[in-house]
Amino acid sequence: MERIDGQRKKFGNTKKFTVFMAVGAAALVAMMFLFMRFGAENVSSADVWNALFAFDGDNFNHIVVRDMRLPRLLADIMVGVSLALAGAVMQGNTKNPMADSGIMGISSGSIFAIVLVMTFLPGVSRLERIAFSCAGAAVATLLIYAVALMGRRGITAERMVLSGMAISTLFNSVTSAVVLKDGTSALMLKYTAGSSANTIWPDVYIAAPFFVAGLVVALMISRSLTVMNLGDDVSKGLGANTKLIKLLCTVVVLVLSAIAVIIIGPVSYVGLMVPHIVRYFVGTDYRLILPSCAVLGAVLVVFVDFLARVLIAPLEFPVGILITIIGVPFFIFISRRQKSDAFSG
Amino acid sequence: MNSIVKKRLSPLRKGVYVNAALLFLLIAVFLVGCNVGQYRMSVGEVISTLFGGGTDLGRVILFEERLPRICLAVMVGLGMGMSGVVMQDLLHNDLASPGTLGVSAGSGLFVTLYVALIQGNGSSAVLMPILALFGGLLSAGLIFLFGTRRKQRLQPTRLIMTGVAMSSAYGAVSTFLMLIIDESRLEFLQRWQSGELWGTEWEYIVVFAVWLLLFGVMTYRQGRVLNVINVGYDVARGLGVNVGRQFLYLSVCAVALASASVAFGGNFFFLGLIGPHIARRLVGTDARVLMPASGIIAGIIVMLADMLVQGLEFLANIPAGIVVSVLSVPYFLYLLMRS
Repeated sequence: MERIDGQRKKFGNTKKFTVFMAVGAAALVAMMFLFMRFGAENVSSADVWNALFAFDGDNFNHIVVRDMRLPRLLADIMVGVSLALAGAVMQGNTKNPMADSGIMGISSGSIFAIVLVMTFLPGVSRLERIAFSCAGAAVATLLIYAVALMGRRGITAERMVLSGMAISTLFNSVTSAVVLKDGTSALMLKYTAGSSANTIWPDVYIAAPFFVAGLVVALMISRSLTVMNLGDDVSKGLGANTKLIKLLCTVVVLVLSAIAVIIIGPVSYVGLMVPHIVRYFVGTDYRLILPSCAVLGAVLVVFVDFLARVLIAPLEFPVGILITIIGVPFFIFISRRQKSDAFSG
Repeated sequence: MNSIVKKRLSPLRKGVYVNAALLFLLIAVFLVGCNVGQYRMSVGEVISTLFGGGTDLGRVILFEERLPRICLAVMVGLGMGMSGVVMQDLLHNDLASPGTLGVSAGSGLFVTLYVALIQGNGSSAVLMPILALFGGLLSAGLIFLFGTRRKQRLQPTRLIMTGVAMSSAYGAVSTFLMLIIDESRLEFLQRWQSGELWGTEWEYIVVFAVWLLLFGVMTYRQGRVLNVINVGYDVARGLGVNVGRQFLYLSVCAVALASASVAFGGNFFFLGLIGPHIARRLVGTDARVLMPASGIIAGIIVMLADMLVQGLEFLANIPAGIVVSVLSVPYFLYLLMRS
């Protein structure tokens, strides 16, 4: 018994997890409040409260909060949670510390599919667009797996990054070809820069069920993911169906990434940064990592989008660009920390 | 007897022959390239027009439209191909290239800044490559700063990872710039980023050619040094090469070669990687034959891509760089899988 307790302590730190979740939730609530209060137009705290709980359709401030900031806030939360979870699941599933749905090229597949649909079938509904986004993500994921599986020996993290870069280049090239031929570059650029500025309620409603499904499945497989990370042999010995889990992981990753792309556009680095920070605090147990990632991912995207809105108000930065600026130093930091033997290219 | 002679054929000799063959192929593609487009001209017609004969219309089309474009295509390829060889040899890594190291993205950012903030459609022939060079050098410096650790061996893959990350940061900044500029500049920048051979005025071609000649010769002269460095830094040091100094010199040359290509031709991401690979298969690793071969092969690739864009209806009006990317990504992935 003692030994098991000892193991557990090393394995994942439940106390730290509780503190992390509490602080994270508090930060998220605080950020949500700030997000609704400040912006191009500042709204008083009382108005924020009343807009949520005693809505008055004639009050302009109430409308700003309820129909402009709230859907955008929810979109940011969904994107943050989705990207962070997708990154964490991918890192666990592929044992690649640099995995991220943007860096690996999954988002570029989604974007490509969406641009194709918007150009050639302009009348499609939001729901169908989600389906196409998932299909594009699936094609990109298949390509990534093909490269990883067909490699002579196991593919290293940095080769994964390079193949992701190549896959993104491929999709982005074809996307720009379509856009340039169609003459819709300005419109598409706004979309591909990654911004939640134009989110309206229907976007949130349509994406929400997929988001919730992805979230639930991700949390359900967290235990298996932990077991799998002990190594393929160990997990098989413990009776885990590794193939099924890997498949589930893949589907979760691509649905969550596709949702994020639909809502906000391609945003890289959230899925890279958040799991690394979380692991530093709560250890390597995915049952603790995944919920923590969800919270931190939401906090991060809401916070950065808040900055994006207030820094140069009344103009704003696309949130995807700001996150990239924050994410690149982080990426470099992580890649410097990698053991050098992994880098014998 | 004959077979023994063949066996004795030194790699260098063989490389020279292959280069001659490649040059011949380049000229052939060049002449065929002059032929592609709305107005049909036979190869004979092209040659006679080149030497002053032919019809007036033919002369206008050839000298004002096709020739500058094809020359530009060849030169973009030459610059990128040679630059890729130098970078791969310096870092002992076949995944190094102006694209993967983020050097061309750095050059690109400076060109974007210039077009977005100062000039409408990048019309200064001399300023563009100089700005691109500056951006490329700055970017190379940053990558070295972030991608190396003191008292540790140079780790090429780490440099490449840093380059990939920095490229995405530059990309973010250019996207932001592109969001705040007007549509005509936006379209120009977007086409340029995807690799549209835009610098087709003779003025640009001349500047580019002089630039290429200058830095090409400066690089080529150090071919032997590059060979020694490619064997190993310690070996080179043992043979009396001042590795630090040569490394810096050759890096600057490589960045300069790539920068001009980026400035006038736009972003051809994988060109500087694919060219050296194909060339190495044909001529081996001796930089003295590898450099020209890689440049010529990359030139042929760009010309072929441009011919496709010019000749095929459904590709019309699409930047040639997109064709190059779509063709070279599968090859790159194949390389990744094999190595």
